[in-house]
Amino acid sequence: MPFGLSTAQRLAAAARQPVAADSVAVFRIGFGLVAVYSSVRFLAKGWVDRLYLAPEHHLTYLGFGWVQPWPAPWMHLHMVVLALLGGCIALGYRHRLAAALFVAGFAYAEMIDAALYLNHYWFVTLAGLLLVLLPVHHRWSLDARQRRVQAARSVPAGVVWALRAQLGVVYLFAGLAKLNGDWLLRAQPMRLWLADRTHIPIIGPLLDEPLPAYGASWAGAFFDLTIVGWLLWRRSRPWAYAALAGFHLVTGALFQIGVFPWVMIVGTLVFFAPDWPVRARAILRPRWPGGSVVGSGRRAGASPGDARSAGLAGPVVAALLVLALVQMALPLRHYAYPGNVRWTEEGYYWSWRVMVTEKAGYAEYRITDPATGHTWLAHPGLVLTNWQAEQADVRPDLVHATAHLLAQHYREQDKVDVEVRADVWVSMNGRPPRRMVDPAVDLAALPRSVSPSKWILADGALP
Amino acid sequence: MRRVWAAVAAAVLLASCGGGTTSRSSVLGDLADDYIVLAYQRFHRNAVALEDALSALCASPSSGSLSDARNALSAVRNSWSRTQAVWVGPVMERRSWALVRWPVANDEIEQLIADRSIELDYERLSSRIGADQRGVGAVDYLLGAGEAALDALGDSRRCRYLEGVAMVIAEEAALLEADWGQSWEGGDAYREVFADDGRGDLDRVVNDMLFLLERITDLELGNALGAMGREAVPTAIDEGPAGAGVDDLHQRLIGLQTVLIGRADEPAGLSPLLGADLTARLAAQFDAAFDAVGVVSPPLRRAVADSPQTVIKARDAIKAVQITVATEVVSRLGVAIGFSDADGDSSG
Repeated sequence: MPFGLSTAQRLAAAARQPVAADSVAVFRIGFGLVAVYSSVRFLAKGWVDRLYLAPEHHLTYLGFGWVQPWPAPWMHLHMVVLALLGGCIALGYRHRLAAALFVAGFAYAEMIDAALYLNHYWFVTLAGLLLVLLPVHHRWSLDARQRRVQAARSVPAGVVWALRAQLGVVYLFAGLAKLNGDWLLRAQPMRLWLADRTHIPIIGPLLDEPLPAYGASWAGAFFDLTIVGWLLWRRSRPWAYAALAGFHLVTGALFQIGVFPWVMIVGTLVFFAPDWPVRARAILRPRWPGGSVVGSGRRAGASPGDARSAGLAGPVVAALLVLALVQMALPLRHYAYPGNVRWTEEGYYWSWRVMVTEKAGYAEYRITDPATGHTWLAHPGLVLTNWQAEQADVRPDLVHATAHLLAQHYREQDKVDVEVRADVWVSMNGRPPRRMVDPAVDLAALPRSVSPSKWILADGALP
Repeated sequence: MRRVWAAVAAAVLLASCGGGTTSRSSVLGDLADDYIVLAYQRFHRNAVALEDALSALCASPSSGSLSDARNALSAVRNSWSRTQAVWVGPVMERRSWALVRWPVANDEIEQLIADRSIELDYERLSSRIGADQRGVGAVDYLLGAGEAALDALGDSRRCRYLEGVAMVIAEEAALLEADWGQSWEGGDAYREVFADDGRGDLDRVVNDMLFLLERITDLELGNALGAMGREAVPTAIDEGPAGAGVDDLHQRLIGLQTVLIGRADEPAGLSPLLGADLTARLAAQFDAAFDAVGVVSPPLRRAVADSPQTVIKARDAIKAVQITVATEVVSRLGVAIGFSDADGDSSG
């Protein structure tokens, strides 16, 4: 494979080329600030109490049942520490340690309850992991100023590529997930969502019409699938970024998607030339000392020596490759399961299936005491809070987890091993409700596993 | 280029002015005008009629006046039950149910009547006794079954109690009617607030319907049938001497049907927002529910004991409506957009 080898060698050589470290430093600063904002917001809105401390039980991820919240006030303190670590990342103060602790602390909070799963939490975890691995703290950081690391005005190009790839993965798989009949041919769930926004002044009445929904669906898919290309092409980049910012601001205004728009708006600045911050500063303030180093962004102000000091060691490169492989595999793993992932949700987590389905469900749990044969209904509220039950009503893995919690409840309360069956009806993307779970199966008797769940009933109506 | 901008501006202007016939605000406005306001008017009329009927009964107790009073009570109960599908706004803020209908404690009513040191005036009955000592349940209890009530009404305190409780119901009905039709908390009528709010009240209407359906299928019928726990709880069905449980079920279903999809003699409810196919499916489910409830022989508590299969079938039929509302209606109206409450970007 001489050609392949040569291509790989050329790629490796290109990845080692020094480029300005400015944009990755800005990425680090932006990430840190969003981390601070997100953590403070979490505290300010009382979510620590409501989401972590109030539930008597948590719907844990398979294999992570041991991840439980700290008791109050330690969980609050946990969020405060995350905010402080975000500040350390932004300032570049003991950056690697701060980023590593932040990722561990953030991932821990993320793993407490699967009903809280959000794609952008996963993105924050991955981006945080990259910030641990990559030399993004040699520029505009306290670490450099206080000489804990050697200050460097350049980094290997591979550092910028890694951050861009991380963002690109989100858009690519989010776009691929939209290539389904519901999204493209029925404009669903966009029609449902837009029809819910008709109270918005001026454009509101338009949102109840099919055309805007079809337009938004197709534009959304086109945007996700192509935006990385437009951002990489120098000529289209400013327009693409403006479109990206507009897209995220509009979706942020229309839908309840929290800090996600800001994460992406700030993060995608890394697609600009690596020295864009200095260029921007030079345009805004031409006499600023940094303005003198404005160049192509590839070598201006950068030197191989710098790049070596802020370089990528072999183990780091290996870790990056593993991370890349994992990220390619996770969104595709649903092909290993039968059925449609939008319905079964097997392979849903960590796969960037952002805003592609709208589900509303109804679930009731039938408890049978095998000793007496008596059967009765149990409300999920017996073991879950309302917000947990809302998620558990539509997600098979959470139905399974709820069945186990109910069995545990009766085991502890009545000292009996009950059977738990679930009758779950789900309307997906506006369709008539269909039964999602086999109501004859005792879910309490089935261990949770990564194997395909045969008790999830197929929905053959899905395109 | 100028033409393009002009066309875009015109489209936006038209859209913002026109609104369209199926806007949520207009549908809620129609629902308020054509159903809710009228329902509270009907409830008020019936409550005043009950006051009159009880006064007539106390003035000249007879089989005829007793029958009239019971009929008037039935009309009040039915009209109240029909409002339950849209218990939003004033009825919730005022906690009207505590004055109009709450499961009663017969013993405590008897104690109040027997304690002659207590003046049974409007002030006492409206605000200084428990919810379980007044409302239509108390009237039902005091009117009792058969002719026995006629003898008991010889006690003037019994009559004063009846008339006082009826007055409390009528006053509350008048206030609810005024809240919806004239002025709410010194401002516009709640009808206006309801239609203007659009988003929030639509959520509340659907959630109230879901709560009512769950109350019927699980809290009342489910518990009475023993489907919700190890023991059956017959008292989960609030049914007085009149044995009106089945009728009550029927009226509440009528209220739900009217609000959701309308009825032949009533306005269209939320159906303009639901679409023809969903409306047709709900109509079929309501028909099945009415048929199943129609088979249940009153009183409901006895039917639960004597012919539980008929009650189970009625419950299953109502459950089918409940599932459709909890899933497709919720989804179609965007009541429970599936983003996580925390910070959602995932919807399923």
